[in-house]
Amino acid sequence: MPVIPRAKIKTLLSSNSDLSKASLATRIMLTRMRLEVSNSPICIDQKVSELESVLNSKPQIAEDLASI
Amino acid sequence: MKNELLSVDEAADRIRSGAPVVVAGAAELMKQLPQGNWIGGTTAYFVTENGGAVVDDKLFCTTFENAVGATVRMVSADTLGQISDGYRENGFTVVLIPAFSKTHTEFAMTGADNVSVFDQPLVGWITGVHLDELGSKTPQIVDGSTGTAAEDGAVLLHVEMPAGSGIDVDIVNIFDQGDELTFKFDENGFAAKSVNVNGETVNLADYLIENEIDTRLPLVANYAGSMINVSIQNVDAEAKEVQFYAPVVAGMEYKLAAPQADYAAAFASSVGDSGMGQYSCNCILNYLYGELEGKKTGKFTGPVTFGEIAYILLNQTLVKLDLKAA
Repeated sequence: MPVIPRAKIKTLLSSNSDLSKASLATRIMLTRMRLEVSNSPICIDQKVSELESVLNSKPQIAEDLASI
Repeated sequence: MKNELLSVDEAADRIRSGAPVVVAGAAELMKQLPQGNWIGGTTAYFVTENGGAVVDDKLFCTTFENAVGATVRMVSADTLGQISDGYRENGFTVVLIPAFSKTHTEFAMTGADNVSVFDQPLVGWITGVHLDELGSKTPQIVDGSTGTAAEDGAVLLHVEMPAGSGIDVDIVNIFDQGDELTFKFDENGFAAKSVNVNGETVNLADYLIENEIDTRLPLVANYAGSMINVSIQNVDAEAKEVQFYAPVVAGMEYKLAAPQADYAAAFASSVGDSGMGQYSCNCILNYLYGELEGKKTGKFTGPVTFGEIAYILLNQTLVKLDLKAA
């Protein structure tokens, strides 16, 4: 399973970048997390840790995000 | 996978074959089916090989003949967080939920809160009734393993495919975000009074009426490249409230969809020649607004539904599941 650096995860969560090549699951899940960060920017570090944990258990989503 | 419009006897044969089956149609017909590895949901509307149609004497059956196993489960509105507990190896799950039920609302609001739902493909639909029977009949789901019908809860078919099989879920949305107006809501919900439009807080019902906005057009949010609709159900001028067919999400930026000159042609163009051999469901609003009855819209066939599910509740969207052999 690819390891995605924490800095990249933070960028993914705080941007609005298009993930058209990713699976629908990845696009929906990441958008929901991005929205939580956008609504409460102070929680960014918590969300980075949460997404790291998600990626450890969901190889498909990790592969999607690693290729971006 | 086989998609077929079958008589009750033919559907019973498919079930007796042992392969997992998803059935759509009239409750009276599903009651006649034997117990087995199947789930069912009510609808009167279908996209058939000959176009959109109301069918009350046959059942639309999708048979996953290459599956190596399947489990039928029911969960309640209070246990939706346990959907993924039944996920099987190399699998996917089909979920059916009755329209207007507590579970419908709960799934729409919190269904994807447990990120484990994203562990594997989750597709499905909200069951309905003929629009002439709204109020006299209630949408149902059926747990085929026991033959039990229900007007609330979610019935799940967890399907296991051979290792290495390709399982892909995606959506077809003919709508794109339209003009520059951006709508943002303060709260999640199936109804809203106030909304922020390009930085100004206004009453949404007043805004839609005063600007003569075509409410057949959904609000569209961009989910990292996927266009996700929220359809407008009703504009209550007196209560100054707008109801939706799926909840708006607080903080999400929505734009009104760009109009479609020819709805059916837009669908046909979006799906092209694809769809043969895929599981799909399409929205009743597409059927109605696009006047799809009798019109062909590509090769997708399946139930026409009161809401579509691809991990989350969707509106005015076609959901498709494609399986590829290992």
